[in-house]
Amino acid sequence: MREPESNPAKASTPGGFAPTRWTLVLRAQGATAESRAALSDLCASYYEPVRRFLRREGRDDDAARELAQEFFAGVLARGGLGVADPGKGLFRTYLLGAVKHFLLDQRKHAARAKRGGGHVPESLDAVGEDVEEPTIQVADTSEGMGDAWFDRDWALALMARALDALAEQFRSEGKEAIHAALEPWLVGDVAGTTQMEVATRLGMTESAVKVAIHRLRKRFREILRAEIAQTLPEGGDPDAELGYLAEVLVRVGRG
Amino acid sequence: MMKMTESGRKCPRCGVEVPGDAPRGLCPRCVMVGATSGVKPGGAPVEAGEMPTVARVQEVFPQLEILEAVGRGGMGFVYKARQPNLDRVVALKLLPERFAQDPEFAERFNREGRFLARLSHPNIVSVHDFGRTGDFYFLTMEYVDGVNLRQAMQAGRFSPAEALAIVPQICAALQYAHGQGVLHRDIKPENILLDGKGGVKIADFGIAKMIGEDRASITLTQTGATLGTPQYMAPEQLERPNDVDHRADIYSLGVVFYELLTGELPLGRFDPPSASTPVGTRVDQVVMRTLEKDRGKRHQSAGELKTEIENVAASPGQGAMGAGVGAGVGMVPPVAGVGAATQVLASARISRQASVAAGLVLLAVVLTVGPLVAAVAFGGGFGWVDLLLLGVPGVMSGIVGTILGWVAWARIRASKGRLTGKPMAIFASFCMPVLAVVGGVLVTTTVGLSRTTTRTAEPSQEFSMAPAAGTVGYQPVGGTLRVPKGLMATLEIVRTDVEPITPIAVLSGYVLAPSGADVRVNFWLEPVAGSTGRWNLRVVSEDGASCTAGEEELGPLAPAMPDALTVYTVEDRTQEIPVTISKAPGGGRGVPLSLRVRGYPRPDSGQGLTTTIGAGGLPEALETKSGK
Repeated sequence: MREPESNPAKASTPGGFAPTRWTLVLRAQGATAESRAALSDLCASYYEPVRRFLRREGRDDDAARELAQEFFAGVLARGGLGVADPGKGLFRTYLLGAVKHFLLDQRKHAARAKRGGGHVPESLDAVGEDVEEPTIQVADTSEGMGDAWFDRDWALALMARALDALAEQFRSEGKEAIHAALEPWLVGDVAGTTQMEVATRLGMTESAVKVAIHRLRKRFREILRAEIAQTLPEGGDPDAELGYLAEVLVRVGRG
Repeated sequence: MMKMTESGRKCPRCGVEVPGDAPRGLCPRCVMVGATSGVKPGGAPVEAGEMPTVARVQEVFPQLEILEAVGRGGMGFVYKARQPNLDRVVALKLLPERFAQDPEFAERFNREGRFLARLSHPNIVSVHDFGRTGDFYFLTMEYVDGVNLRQAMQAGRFSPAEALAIVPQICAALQYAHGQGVLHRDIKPENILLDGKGGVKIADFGIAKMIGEDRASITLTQTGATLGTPQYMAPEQLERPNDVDHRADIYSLGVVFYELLTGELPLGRFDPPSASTPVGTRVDQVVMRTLEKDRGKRHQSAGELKTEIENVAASPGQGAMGAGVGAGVGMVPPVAGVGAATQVLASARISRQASVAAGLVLLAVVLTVGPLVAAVAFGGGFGWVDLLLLGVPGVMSGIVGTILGWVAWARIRASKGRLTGKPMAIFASFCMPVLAVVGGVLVTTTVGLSRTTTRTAEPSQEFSMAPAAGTVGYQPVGGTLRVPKGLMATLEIVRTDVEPITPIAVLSGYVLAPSGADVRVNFWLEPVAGSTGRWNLRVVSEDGASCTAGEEELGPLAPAMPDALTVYTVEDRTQEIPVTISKAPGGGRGVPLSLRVRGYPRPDSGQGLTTTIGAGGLPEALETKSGK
């Protein structure tokens, strides 16, 4: 019987009891400092897809950045989300819905700007009221492609976070060289000869390199799933979300 | 829709251009698709179809902590799980659900399961438990943290030494299991696991029998994409599935052995392994015998095969390989690599090219570096004769030797151990380039070349001289000397129209700079009203013998100006004179060097010069400021 190496990512593996960030947020609705911190962390992680979404909406870089900051400031200031049923949604779909809502408000706001309206979109403040809520998904089929691009950027942001975390893990173990040499194999198997070269360079046997690559991939997968789990509601399946995001990349990337 | 910016690079895996915003430059599609759990690492994506989700399996097996889905095959689905009470990680294998409906299956499953659970061998993945829960027939097994042979082979071929170390371990497992009356029936690379520490373990012993389907029919009923091909099956297993014995396993192992060595399957009229791999004929004989169509001609036991492989590896005159593989029954020798490979092979020899290359390079070193060292040590220089006699042959042999070295190295690498002499080839390949680089660095830093380049060094010290009152005629009223750190620099302004040439102003200071650095002199002269004259500004180094300093003609001070030399702005008269110290006496740092700036005033108005500042010593007004 061989015990696998202890895995740093394991602590946050879904299925454990530690609540993920998004479940914290959903549960507490901004009532606790913990949930506010969790929401803030989440927003920081996925700032980029939002900025790009706004960029795609026709804003220039600066405007998009400003708007993104304004948007997040609004979300964080509220703390609570205004989501009636926490069990339903992913953080990803929530955020996209909220951004769209925010944009809608911006437009309305611009329309009555001359009358000197307030700065913060009012309707978002109310929780559980009859006003429009940034619920799970704004059903607007015409924007399907924009949504897909948002999800693509989301996948990229997620992937970047996981890759960086992976690099950081290896760095903290003093194995930067191994990481640097093997990272290219995260895409899958490439030409065999280069792997032999890596083996000689690292002073390992071929089979050890093969196993090391396998473990690198596994670690990456675990980190990725743990990252995803942070954005899932209770009982969410990280594999389903991962599968979806991979599919989005295949679909949108080639489009 | 916005177009992605492309990075201009193609993904080495899918060949699609990698988007410019791809994290860490990795193809996002391949990375993320590769990370989806329905995918065997490195394998092709499998439709996530019927594989039960982790959550579902977790429901059915509350006593286990299901960690992740590991893989799937025709024999079922495998999950990594933890048994909390024993605190051990296990592999949970679920058999395809279709069996749950088969009443005959239960009996067969229980019968075979008991056999399997009894198998206990270091090279066999042990079965802890088996049974039925809910709709699933399951087995819990030892979890092996590693890769299977297929995954390992996908990354690159095994060296013969590795193959010769792995196969005996499989033999040991088969010999043991056959002794227990259990046939594997499905030996293929997917079922052979490497644990990364040198251990080899066979998985799925007897599962084929348990499932009760011979592989040919499975392949027909399933899509065949994930299940092995019948190529690993013995001919009699394909033709008469019910009439197989342990020699069928030996045949299958032979196919794996052949594939390990050659990277190919023994299909049709196949060549012996030595045709494509540096192994001797004795390895050929062993492999070909396992692949005999007639099982009576094969090795009659796995033990016999194991012994034969070990004998080949340890055959007389083959060095210590025997110890390696003999001990390798349990473990692959940790460095089963190059060294071992060369010993197995009867034809291993030292690369002649490598020897010749190394010899030529050595000759080149003697011919070129030797005289250089001698010249430096004993003084003296080179003549044309030396150059012809030593230099030309030296350089020629160096070039030829280096090229030959590269060729030899490539051939040694390609020979997979048939040729040795890699150190010599590497020496030949790199010696001259390294020497050239080292020599170049030495020459540019210490020996120096006579060249004048204007490398602008930041001044570390600045000397300035304030205008002195009460002077007549041409008067150097100020001078700025910028020298890089590390140089002793003296700036003299001398009149040259009278003999002896005497300095009229001396600016000096001491700074440290590496030799060979460029010296920039910023110097300006401002004649007093009413004077006319010609000035030449010359910068020479003090050590005339060893230094060739640049000499700059300042030219007439104001050729473009009309006679009126009344007012000159400081900027107008600034001259920058690049000086290269061509040879540093002593060769070290902090070379003393003095610069003279000589002015040639016109004789008719020269008398005033003698009274200018600084005559006879450093001017009072000299200030030494530290650099910016």
